[in-house]
Formats: sequence, structure tokens, C-alpha cells
Amino acid sequence: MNDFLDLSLAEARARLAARDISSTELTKAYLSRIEATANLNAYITITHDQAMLGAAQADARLAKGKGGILEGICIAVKDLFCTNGVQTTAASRMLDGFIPTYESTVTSNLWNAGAVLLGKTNLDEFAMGSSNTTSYYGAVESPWRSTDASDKKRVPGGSSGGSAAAVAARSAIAATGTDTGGSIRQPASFSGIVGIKPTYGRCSRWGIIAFASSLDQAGPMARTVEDAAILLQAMASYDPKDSTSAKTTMPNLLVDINKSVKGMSIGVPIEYRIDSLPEETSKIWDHGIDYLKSEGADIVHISLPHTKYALPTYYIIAPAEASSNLARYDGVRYGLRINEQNITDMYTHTRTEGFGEEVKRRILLGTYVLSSGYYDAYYLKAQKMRNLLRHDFNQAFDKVDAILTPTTLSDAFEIGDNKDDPLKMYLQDVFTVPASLVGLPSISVPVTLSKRGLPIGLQVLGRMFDENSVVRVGRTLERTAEFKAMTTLVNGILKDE
Amino acid sequence: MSIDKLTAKTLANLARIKISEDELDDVVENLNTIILMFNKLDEVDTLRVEPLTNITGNFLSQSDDLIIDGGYQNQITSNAPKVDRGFFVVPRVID
Repeated sequence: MNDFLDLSLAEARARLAARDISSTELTKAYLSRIEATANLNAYITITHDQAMLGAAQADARLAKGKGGILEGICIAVKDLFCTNGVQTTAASRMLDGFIPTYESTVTSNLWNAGAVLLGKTNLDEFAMGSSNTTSYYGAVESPWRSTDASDKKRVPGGSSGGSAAAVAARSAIAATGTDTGGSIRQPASFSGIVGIKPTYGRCSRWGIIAFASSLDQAGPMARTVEDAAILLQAMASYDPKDSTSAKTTMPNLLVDINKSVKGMSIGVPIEYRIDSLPEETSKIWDHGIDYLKSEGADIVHISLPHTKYALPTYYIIAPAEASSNLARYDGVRYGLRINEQNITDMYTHTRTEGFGEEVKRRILLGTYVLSSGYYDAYYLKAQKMRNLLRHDFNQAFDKVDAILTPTTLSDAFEIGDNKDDPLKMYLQDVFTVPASLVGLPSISVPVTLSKRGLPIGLQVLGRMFDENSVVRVGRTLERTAEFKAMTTLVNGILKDE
Repeated sequence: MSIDKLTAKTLANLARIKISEDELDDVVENLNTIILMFNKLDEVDTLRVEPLTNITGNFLSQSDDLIIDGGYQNQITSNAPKVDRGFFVVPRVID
């Protein structure tokens, strides 16, 4: 059974096409893996019957020599993508039991490419968080444990924590995530997997439950850079139903993926070497620089002078947009309703009971920064900062083809840490928010284990719409770092068997 | 800048969220910790900087004013807490 789980998406795809394995066998192996790892709480909904039916249909197409680029590949979908007839919750009590009557564009693309849905993965409520501890359905546990405190449960990162844990625990070949300020890249780094946040506009936002619309972007989470690239290729499309969808055609990401970085200029921004950066992370970053140098890249020291303002800018923009987007949850058309005689009381009780603490905090923050008398000082100021940040990157990309930074400050923290200190939790996003604010494509690639045996990733940022360079540099890091470590849980299970 | 209890209550009312008296101190403290971080932006002179509202540079497209779908009232109301003859039902708003 584990033979199936050991296959990468690329390998499984080749063996499915060769009729060497069937989608039914592959899907069954993953469904039993989901059951065996249920304690991680990575899934909110498991679509067992739909998966088996989808696998049988894929097998029938494969038997005729037909099928899309993901034919028969079983994947998990973050429970923020609306799926027709399948409960979609955003991990909120507000949407518990919500069954969409339509399919998001990204997931439609996946099913059209032949993919099979295993289930919907857990996340931080409304994708707001960096630990996957704010879900109404309970925290997600990482399949990784540290060597120095192996009894302590770790976070998988967030907000796409269920997707990250599922891919790391091998209960999905790959998964979709969404990234507003780091929600794909940070959990990828914490969980020892690859995550890509594409250029803003690459993947349609239609049918994805909105958090902050000018930042939200869907992307793939997978075991290898190649797997993530294949999944992204299928997810991305121009969509007239999303007014911010990009018409720029996505090039074939696999064409240049194994091309050397020789002659490429890689920027290393001085401002990312912040005081609070632990020495261990700093050294891992240096190793990454050495890897790319040894592969023939030119390392260029660059300056992104407004970097330290990215975090406050993000935490003005994102809650502002969230407070507007989440105004729709009023108990009238869908979702929770706490019944009252009076309509204003109904709104208030519904929202007070339906939203969790972190979501309410961000709605209040957003309401504050948009309110009369404060709009110019906060929201308008943040939009201007966004322009300065973009100017920084534009200047840098005149000199370099890609930028290398750490993804996270450190390895994964324990479940419960940072819980009572929202600011400390927000600081988790310090290296990932700049690319979000400017819309740049970026990838997190696992490169090593920390001293205490937990994975850490590095981040590569590229020019707008240049996912090709991002996956090419990411693939080089992957190849040179030779990260092959498996989660404590995967090792444990293999040992037992 | 920072907020006091009264401002927090006003914000909560605007957002249609109730903060109980027990929670109020914590809410105000947490919000102020974050707002304090925002004040860092005061260091930057943005007088001559244009706000950035469109990061891809793509112009928003306009669609023709045509009916392209519809006629699925049952689907639209299928998740509603209360429906009557195809309408969403809410507590009485006019006396």
C-alpha cells in the first residue's frame, strides 16, 4: 500500500498513463491513509464515495487513452474553495453545513483536468491565521515532532494548515491552498513541503470564499517543485467571472524547470536580515545562497528599503478588506442565523456567535482603519505604502531575476504558542507579506531540518508573471539541498509496518 | 493613536458584533497592541505618493449588459435559514 503513497504526483501521473497502476488503487490507498491519520484533523470533510466514483471514471478515460493533465490524480482541496454539492465551511461556525450550488473556477479546472477529490482540508477560520488553531473544527496537528520535545504537538502553519499536514502526512498527493499574506508558503515551510503563491491574477478567485480580495490568491501545495508546477498549470486560467483575473497566458512551467540557474542574477535583500532573525535561520539562508552560487548564479546584494513597513501595511489592508467582505454574513441568505425578533439583533447575535475571536478582531481592526476620520491616516496611507513597496521591488528586478529569502523566522512552534499574543502571531508573516502586497509570484521550498529535527524552507520571489524563474530557482534549491526527510509520523508508521 | 473602551464599543456596533463587558479590556488591549504597530508608518513621508489600488496593471474589464444566466431561484435560496415561496424571510423591518 505504501508504494502508492511513495509516488510523487509526476510519477503517479506517468504510471497511470502507462496503465501500470489505476486511479482506483491510488485513491483507495489515500483514503485509507486519511483514516489512519485522522488524529491530525487535516480534513473537515472526506468525500469517500465521490472519490471512488471519480477514480472509476478516470480509469475509464485512461483505458481509452484519454484524459487531462491530472487524470486519476487524487488531491485535497482547502475548505475555502466552493465545491458543488460538497459542504464548504471556511472552518467557521458561520458556514457550518453550507453546501454550494456552484463550483469554484480553480476546482472546475482541476476536475476538467481529470483530478479526483479526496476531501476538504481544515484551515484557520476564514483563512485568518498562521497556525491553523483558529478553526471551528479544531486545530490541525503537524505530522512532524521535534527531537527535543517529541511529546509536544506542533502547528502545521496556517492558514492552509490542513492542506500542508495532509501532503506532509501523505494523506493527499497534493492539495490546493490559498495565500493572502503567506498562507501557502508559511505552512509549506513548517511542514517540509513545496508551496507556490502565483502572481496575483493567475488563479481565478471566483468561488473562493473571500478574505482580502486584493491579496487572495490560490496556489498548489505538493511534495516536489515539479508536482507543484503541474498542479499550478491546471489551476491557473483567465476567468471573465473574476474581474482581476489576468489575461496573460501561463507558459508551460515544466519546459525550463530543470534548466540551470547559471547566469541568473539572484538578489539577497539586506533588510530581511532583521534583528529577530534567529542565527539558525540566517545560516540556512546562507546555505541557500551558497547552493545557488555553486550552480552558477550571480548573487547580488540588494536593498528593499521599505521592507519593515510591509507588516503594518498588510495588517491595515487585509483587515480592511476582510471587514467589508465579511459584512455579507448577516444570517439572511446563507449560513448561521441566531433568531431574534428584531433584525438588528439578528445580525448582531448571528455575527457574534458565528465568528471566532480572531475573525472578530480583524473585522474590528478593519472597521477602525476604514472609519471616518481614520481612513486617510491608515487605509490610504497603507495603499501609498504599497506603492513604495512595489517601487522597491521594481528597482530590485532591474538588477536581478529572482530574490532569495527565508520563508519563516524559525521552524514550527507548539500548538498553543502565540495564542494570547496576536501581534506575535502576526510577526510570523514578516517575510511573506511583501510579495502578497505587490502581487509577486513566490515559492517556498524545504531545504533542511533544524537542529531539533523540524523542516525549514526558503522563499524565492520572481517578477510579475514570471513563475518560470520561480520554479526554476526553486527546483535548483530542491536539487542541491537534497531534502529527503520524512515526517516523524510517516517514519513511525513505516517502522510499525 | 490608540483606542479607548468607548471607541471599541462604537466599532463593534458598526460591525454588528457584540463585545461583552468581560471581554472589553482584553479586546481594547489587543487592538491597541496592533494599532501601535500601524503607527510605525508615520515615519514615512507619503505626501507625494499615489495610492496603489491595482497591482497587476490590468484594466478591469466591462461586460456587455446581457442576461447570461438565471432562472435558478431554488439554488439561490437552498442555503437560506428561512425561505417562503422563493423569498428570503427576515424579522419584520417595518412596523
